[in-house]
Amino acid sequence: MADLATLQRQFYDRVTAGAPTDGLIASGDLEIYADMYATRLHDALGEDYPKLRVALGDEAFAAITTDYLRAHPPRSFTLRDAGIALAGHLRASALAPPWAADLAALERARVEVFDGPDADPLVHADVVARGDQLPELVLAWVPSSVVVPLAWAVDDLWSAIEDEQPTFEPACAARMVLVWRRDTSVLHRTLDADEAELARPIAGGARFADACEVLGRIHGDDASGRAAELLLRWLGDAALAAPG
Amino acid sequence: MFPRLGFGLGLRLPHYQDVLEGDPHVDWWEVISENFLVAGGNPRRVLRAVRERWPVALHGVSLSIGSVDPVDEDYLARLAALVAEIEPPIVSDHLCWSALAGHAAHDLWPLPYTEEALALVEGKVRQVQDRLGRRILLENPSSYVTFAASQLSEAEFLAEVARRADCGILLDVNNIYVSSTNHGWDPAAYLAAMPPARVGQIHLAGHSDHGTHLLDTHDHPVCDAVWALYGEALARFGNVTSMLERDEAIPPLAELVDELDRARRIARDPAGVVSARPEAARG
Repeated sequence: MADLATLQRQFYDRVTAGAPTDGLIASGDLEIYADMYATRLHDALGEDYPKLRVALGDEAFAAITTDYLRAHPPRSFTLRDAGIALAGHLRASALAPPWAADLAALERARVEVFDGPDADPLVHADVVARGDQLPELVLAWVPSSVVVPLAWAVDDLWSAIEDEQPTFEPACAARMVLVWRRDTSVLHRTLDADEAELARPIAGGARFADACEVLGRIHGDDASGRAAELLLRWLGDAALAAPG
Repeated sequence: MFPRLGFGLGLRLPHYQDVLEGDPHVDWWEVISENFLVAGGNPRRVLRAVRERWPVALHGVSLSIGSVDPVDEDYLARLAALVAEIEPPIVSDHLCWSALAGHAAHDLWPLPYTEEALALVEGKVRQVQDRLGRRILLENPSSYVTFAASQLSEAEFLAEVARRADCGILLDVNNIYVSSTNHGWDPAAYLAAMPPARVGQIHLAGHSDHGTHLLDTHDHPVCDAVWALYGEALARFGNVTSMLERDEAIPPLAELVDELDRARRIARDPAGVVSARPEAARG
């Protein structure tokens, strides 16, 4: 009689990869488990990457996810992480168009932000209270945020699919997208070029003075006005975290 | 030994708003633990709000208590933190395995009912209970195969695990019906093999008929045969904490509350449930 470890290995290999078994079961049908395994994971990836599925079409999406799951069988206790390596996998995949990895990265960021840590946002009163100490104000994105660097304009494609418009081949156009959560809503926005220059410093907790310095190099004498404009935008977005 | 909470429902996303804004006739809620082992956002917000008004039990699907893999310490730590936060009256998972060599199947795979498996499950249940500082309940899964290596019936195995590991049993009467139909077991004999003092909760759910087998899909109302089995279970075990699960084709909350009322009526008169005796086996 096979020991438990051997039995579980045979079962796993049969259900996940169709490997043959000999004398494992007394009755029933292992194919039921094989069907459920594949269906559950494909459904989970379809739910987490809905725009990618639409953009690629069901058939291509299924082929890609099958290839992905073969290379990256889930390792986490949560189905939420079944697709955690999909974007990276697609960058090296011949099955996917070159922009697919970027769309997967954007959708993955939205998954992570959805149930990321809660935090109070920085509000106008916090800024006003700083008075002449405003340059020392630490700017930090809310913890439930991800800055996603993209080589393709997949955010435009995402929006088109969200609006139920026809899909299209996204342009090759580098950009940075901020994904964040305001209350319980997951949002994303393409950053302006100067804002993108600030994305990483703010992710690292830059002071307002540091941000002004970066803007000064870009805008010269107009930097102060632009800094105020961006600060108001971020406050309106609830994209910055209140001081800890 | 285990709290009597009355009649509960599974808390599911389509009902969040109705639950938070209404006052459904539900005594307690059960949540899938893994859906709330997250840092924040809407899931945690809803859980906190519901917990302020009702008891909330934690029901897991990823403990993989029967796997030869060790217990996932990260998972257990997160579960312990959630338990400490919401103080659930019941913490449960399944008598199954769902991970091997670090790979997660996200399914509830059956065990061979052997002495080796029994010893392994006993040890892991004790480890989990020590970590959580409380008893857990293990649920009988639906199954679609039996193993040539099995030496015990599933009912014997489950009862013995509960006795050796000093844990409770979450008796899913739909799963008993599904597995009994699929394997030709006698569901009444299954109930008779359960130690009454260990039965801490009952699950009710629907299934789908695939012709060659029944599948535990939680996408239909509870069928009459399962209601009859529920009546038999209550007659045997008393008014055990009961809940209704629906995970697919989820109807409006009011419809599930009405279905839950049927459980309340049966609990008032278990012997009076329509005698639609479950078939022992398929043709």
